Amino acid sequence: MRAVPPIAGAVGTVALWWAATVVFGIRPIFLPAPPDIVAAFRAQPGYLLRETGATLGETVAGFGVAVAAGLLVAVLLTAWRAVERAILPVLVALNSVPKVALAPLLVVWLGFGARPKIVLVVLICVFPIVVATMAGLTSTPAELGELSRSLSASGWQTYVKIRLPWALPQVFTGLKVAVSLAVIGAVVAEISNPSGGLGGVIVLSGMSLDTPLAFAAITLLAVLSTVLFYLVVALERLLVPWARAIAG
Amino acid sequence: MIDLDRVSRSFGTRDGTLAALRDIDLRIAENQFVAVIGRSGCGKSTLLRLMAGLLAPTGGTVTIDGTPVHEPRRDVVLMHQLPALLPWRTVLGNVMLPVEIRRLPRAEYRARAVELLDAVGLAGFHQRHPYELSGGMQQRVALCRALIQRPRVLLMDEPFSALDALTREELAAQLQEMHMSAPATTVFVTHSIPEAVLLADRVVVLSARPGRVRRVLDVGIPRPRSFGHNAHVADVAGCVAELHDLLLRD
Repeated sequence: MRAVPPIAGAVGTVALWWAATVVFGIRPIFLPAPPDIVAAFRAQPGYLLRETGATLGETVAGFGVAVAAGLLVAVLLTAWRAVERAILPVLVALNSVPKVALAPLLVVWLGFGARPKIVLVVLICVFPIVVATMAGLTSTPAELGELSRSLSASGWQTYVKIRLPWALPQVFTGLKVAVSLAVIGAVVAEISNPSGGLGGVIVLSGMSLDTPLAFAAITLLAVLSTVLFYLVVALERLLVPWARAIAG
Repeated sequence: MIDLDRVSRSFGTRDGTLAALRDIDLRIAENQFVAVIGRSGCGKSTLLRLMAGLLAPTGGTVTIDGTPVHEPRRDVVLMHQLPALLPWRTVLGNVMLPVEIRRLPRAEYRARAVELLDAVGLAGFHQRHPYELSGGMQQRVALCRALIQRPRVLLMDEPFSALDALTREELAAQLQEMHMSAPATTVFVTHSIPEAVLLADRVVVLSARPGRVRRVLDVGIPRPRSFGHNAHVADVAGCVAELHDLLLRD
């Protein structure tokens, strides 16, 4: 019964969209109806799935690197107060650069192919991970800090047994933001360098005014993004089942 | 056992220094149960943190068994107002935390943890997580965690003050039983006069800030004590009234 409202919402939205294209007589070149999009997909499913795979590969590779780098940077920054104070302003300044604007430059620096795309994904999603992890690592409650001090716990024990697990719910908040940004980063990189991936499909279909094909690519992107997001959510429920209980 | 010799502690604030405690002289004998009461902000918690080695005095000395206290000691345990449990650990895992951190033999202490949890009425809850328990049960887990290392000194900072009145009485009765069967030197900070009279051999009344020892009252009522249904009801009431007077005149 809990699944009924979300399903009804999704079906209702698609139905409304379809009805609008019929009632107002909108031409498929401006806004294709759902059947046009399905037809565009069925015309060349192999090609579209292959490009989805390319985008997925760049997204996952970039996200993976960003998670590893982001966690490492956050751990290093919070380990030494002086390092944090030296590097945090640089990070904040870097974060305020619109990473999307770097996409054409990355092609100049790294050439065509997957590398500049993966780098853009890393750049765009590493900051939320760093910031969320740092917030988590510095939010250990005072009474837990006093507990570990009164037990004469070593710095390492305090880190591993208290600070790190305490930070995990906030780490996952960062990961959920980052995974959606990762897909955006991959698509932006593909649009500026349309040699492959769903972003490339969108650019090429725009040139030939094949709007249904562009919508098919956008739909696949939405599915991709949603699936990746819920994979992270599933991992969160598996690793920190207690987070929801104490937040509520 | 615990000796406080002209102990003072002040804190630097934006408006100059604030004296929390001044010239506290106190001698606590082995296995004695001492309650400390006083108004909010009179330095009761500071006093405990000085004895726990979490704070250094700005004047005077704190010694335990003749050794000055400079850092947390293995045989001294501090219990907070909040249970301060780790939400990702089970009840048993929380009780075992000090054993793991101090690298004590696990098998032996595991048996003790089970014994303690059973003694406070948490027999069926070893594998539950803290968020599945009520506030009173969480504080019982914290009590077991404090007792697991067989501390010689137990410092308790308003341990029951976040609980409802009935749970509070239950836990106080349980603490009294545990103190009778396995005594440890206990310093128990509280706001509650009846709680102090129920539990303590001696009650230390602190004056308002800066905290000084205003009076030390010996409670000679035989144990087990209770609030309602024993022969010594009149004695308890008399003691409570005397303390009331002392605190209200402050």
